[in-house]
Amino acid sequence: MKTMKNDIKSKLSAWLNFDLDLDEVPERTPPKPKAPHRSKLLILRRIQNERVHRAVYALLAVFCSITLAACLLLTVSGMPRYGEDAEFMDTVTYEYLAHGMEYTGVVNIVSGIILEYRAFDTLGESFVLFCAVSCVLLLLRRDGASGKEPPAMRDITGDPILSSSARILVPLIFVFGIYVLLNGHLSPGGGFSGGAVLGAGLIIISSAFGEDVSGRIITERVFKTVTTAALLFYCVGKSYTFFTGANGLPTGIGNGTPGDILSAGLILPLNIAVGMVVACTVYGMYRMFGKGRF
Amino acid sequence: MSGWIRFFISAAFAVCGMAAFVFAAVGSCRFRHVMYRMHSTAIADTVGILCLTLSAVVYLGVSFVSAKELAVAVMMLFTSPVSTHMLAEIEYHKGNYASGVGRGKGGGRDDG
Repeated sequence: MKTMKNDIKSKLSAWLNFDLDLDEVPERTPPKPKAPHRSKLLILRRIQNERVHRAVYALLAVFCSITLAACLLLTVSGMPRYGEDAEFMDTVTYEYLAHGMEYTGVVNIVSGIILEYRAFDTLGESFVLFCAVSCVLLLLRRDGASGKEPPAMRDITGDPILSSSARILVPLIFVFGIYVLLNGHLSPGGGFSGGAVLGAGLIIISSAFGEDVSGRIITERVFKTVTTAALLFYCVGKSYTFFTGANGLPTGIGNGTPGDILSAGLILPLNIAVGMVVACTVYGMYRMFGKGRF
Repeated sequence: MSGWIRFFISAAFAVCGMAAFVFAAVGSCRFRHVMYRMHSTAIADTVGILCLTLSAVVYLGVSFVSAKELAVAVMMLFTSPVSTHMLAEIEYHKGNYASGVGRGKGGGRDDG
């Protein structure tokens, strides 16, 4: 047996031209159980973290919901019953409705509330719009040097049906928007709705007749100037009336005859300012999302 | 008597308008292809709104409010076909017009 093995070994060594020693093959040891790889550990830890996060999130969500529901229920439980004499409860509402026209000079009391009693709130809303359009400009604006061309969209400019109907519609839309804007203190409407109508008219012009025509009306410079000037005017005007009103000084701005187009003090100019901001915002967002520039 | 006649004409218009809206809703839920869906929603925009405003106009008689309502109806009749046309044109240029149409499938189904 031994000789046969040696024989085979020598023959193999000769054939392979290689010194083969089969006796010295080491025993195969079973591999040590390796520690899990670092990435696996990280994934495990992340899963654990996620579980903790989910539990904390669920707890916080439940807590917030219960707190909010409790606040709302407390408020509702404090309200007068239906039909109860609640004159002492809603003095503010009564004040607005009974003396609003006298103090502010508006016929549409909603405009009086949002632009006179609650004017800071409306200023905040205008700034929210301004911030939104600023963020959209920051994110989507294409500069000449670095910006890539957007993916080619189907150009609907010059579509005969769209352009011929836009030729009839656009003047009507603009007249209606200006009417809503200027009559905000007399009838339902005001800065936000009128501005949205005007912005829609600008969008129709831009999509039906092309950016050459809309670029004649509103450029980036016009956009910046109008938005900033309108917001600044709003800030300055309302600061002035708040300051003088809080100190019991006369503002020097009369209320006029309620029902006239030139009445209600600062409300008409403020409506125009808000409408300009809204129209520019709507149109600016459309342009940014479409082309990335004005 | 004339009040009742007016009421019944107005009610008939209102029922027609609401039926158009119901057909449009059912169609836009049940049709699978975009063109069929646009067709069914266009029913609501044109026939439905026209019937409902006519109903209100007949009910209110000659007044400023009914003039406003007629203006709204004319505006909708003017703008809705334009928007439908633009949507259909985009779908046509995307090549969506062929699926399910004219292939003998029938029923306007395109589940793929």
